[in-house]
Amino acid sequence: MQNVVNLTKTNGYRDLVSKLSSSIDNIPDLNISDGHRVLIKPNLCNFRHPSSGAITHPAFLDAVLCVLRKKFDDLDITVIESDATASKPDITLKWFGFDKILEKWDAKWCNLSYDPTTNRKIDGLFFDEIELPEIFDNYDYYISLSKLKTHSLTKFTASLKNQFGCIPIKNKSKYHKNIDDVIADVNLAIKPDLCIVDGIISMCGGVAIYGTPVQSNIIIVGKDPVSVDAVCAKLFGYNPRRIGCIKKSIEIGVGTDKYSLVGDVNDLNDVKIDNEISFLRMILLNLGRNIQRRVT
Amino acid sequence: MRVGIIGAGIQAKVAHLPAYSKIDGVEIIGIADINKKSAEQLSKRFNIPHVYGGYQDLIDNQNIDLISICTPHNLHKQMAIECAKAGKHILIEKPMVTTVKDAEEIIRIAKDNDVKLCGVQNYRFFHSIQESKRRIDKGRIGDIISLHGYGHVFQSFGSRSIPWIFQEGSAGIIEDFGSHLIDIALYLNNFNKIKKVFALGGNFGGNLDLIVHCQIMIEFENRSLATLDLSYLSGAKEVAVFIHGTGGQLHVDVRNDHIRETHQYDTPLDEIVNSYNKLKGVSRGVIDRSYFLGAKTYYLTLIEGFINSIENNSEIPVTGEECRNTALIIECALKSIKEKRQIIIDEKSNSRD
Repeated sequence: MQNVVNLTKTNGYRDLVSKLSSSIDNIPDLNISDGHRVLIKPNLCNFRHPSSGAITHPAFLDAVLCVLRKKFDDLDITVIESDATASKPDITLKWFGFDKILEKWDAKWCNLSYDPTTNRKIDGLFFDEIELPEIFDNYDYYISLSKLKTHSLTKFTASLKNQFGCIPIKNKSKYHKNIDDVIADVNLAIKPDLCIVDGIISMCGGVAIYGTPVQSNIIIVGKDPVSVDAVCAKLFGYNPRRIGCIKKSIEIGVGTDKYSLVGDVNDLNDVKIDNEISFLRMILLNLGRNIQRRVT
Repeated sequence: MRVGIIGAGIQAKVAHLPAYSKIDGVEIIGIADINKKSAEQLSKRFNIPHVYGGYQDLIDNQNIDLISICTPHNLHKQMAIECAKAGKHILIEKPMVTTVKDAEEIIRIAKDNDVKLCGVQNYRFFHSIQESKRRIDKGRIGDIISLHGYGHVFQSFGSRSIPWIFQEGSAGIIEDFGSHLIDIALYLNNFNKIKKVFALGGNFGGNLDLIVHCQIMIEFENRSLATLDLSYLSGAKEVAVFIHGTGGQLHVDVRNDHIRETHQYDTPLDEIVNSYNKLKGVSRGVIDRSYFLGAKTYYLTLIEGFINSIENNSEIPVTGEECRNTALIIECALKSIKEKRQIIIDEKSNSRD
């Protein structure tokens, strides 16, 4: 049976709880039960305002926690994120009121960069052994809460790339040269059980954190990060097989890009995102960034 | 639509009358001015059958549906009230009035007499402003953080065409071009409620009690800020707005019809595209003559929109309430300059449509 991916249109961040609830209901064999220890990883990659489309919106996390609390009893929920080269999620958490949301839904917070680590052996493309936070040894269910946006290195980012943030070290940019291999490896080591993509305000035409906010009003839900990302790639007009991290993830058996689409969108073209970045501009952006890096 | 004009000065001559003349189905019935000679000159030029020395006689003409008030703003209130009481729809030059109290009185009397009221805030109809508003509403720059407006305009001191600006004690540029820049800021910020106003400015060391340059700072309820920089002195002819949002920036060169949208990283390709777009905007302005006529070009859009709103009971292009908010900022800015403090605006003073 093919992986089920649910694509649903929303009315901004207003009717999210009902839309998320029905989207999750459309996914068969969720395998989450009352009392489970649940990890949720949003994308809090930089100090950008949620209205810029750069990070998972607080309203999105609020709605996901609301749905989980309504559907299941006694979940032990922890929201996780790590420090990045240019950001500290602890600050982002306070700044945009994520901390209040966690308090409201009785969820804990863990900055992966300060969690003790263990080494895990994997048959990866870049790593033979990967250092991961200990929290990944003690959970029952893992939900990725990624953001839908274009990216100058990986063309776009959704569920697979969100896993890059599970690497606890701060200076993750050192992996940029082998980013597709590293993303595939992290997904092999810790594969999400459920992927939910915040595509309500997506971001187009820029590098990782700067681009044009686009009110695309969609949420994508599925169990396999590869099939979820295959749908996301098509929304930006890309062939999934030409996206490095998707190709590499299939190669090492993370998942498959075959999917069966459910939800209230029959044709992907109806919700296709106007990806205005040109090939030439992408080259120039990367060139500029490389020159800047060498000079500084 | 049968139209009457009060005031035969420069605005009637170069803006209102040429615009009315271009609209099908509009008949200009009469014109009134205290200087009857000026009114007669315009009546000959625009084939207007009735000329009056007093505006009350024009208002008494039963055949007129809509009156354009093109006089200095200190005369607006009385004229507008009399027009409304006579059942005439009113198009009123900027600034409609300069106090909230006067604006509310006009709005109330217009409502009581079931007539439509529209202000002349024609700058918001520049293509560049309309396009910026569309992009902001679409969320292309996220939420607005700050808005910086520049209104550096030339005004010939002692001008015979608008002597009211240079009277002792006049608010000068704040009431003159300031009302346009304030309206642009409010319009682009979706008429968000105003919380605080602070202004500095004056006569730049001159001996005339007149404001020739100033900066107005506004804080809105959505926490965004605006600074409006106004001057007669620089010799520049610059009308520009820089809008910074959480997801990008818009640099709007209003007169040259050019918008530069940025999202942090720019490349040489963007510079080329921007230069091309600027050239395109200027060329379009030269072809449709807006490059030379400036904001006068947009009287036609405004007046057509107002006539349409009267005939089809549709949305008024610039409502009395919107002009009231401009008056609120003018009033607070003048108070702030005089009392050298920020003015905090309470809930009651804010108004929205």
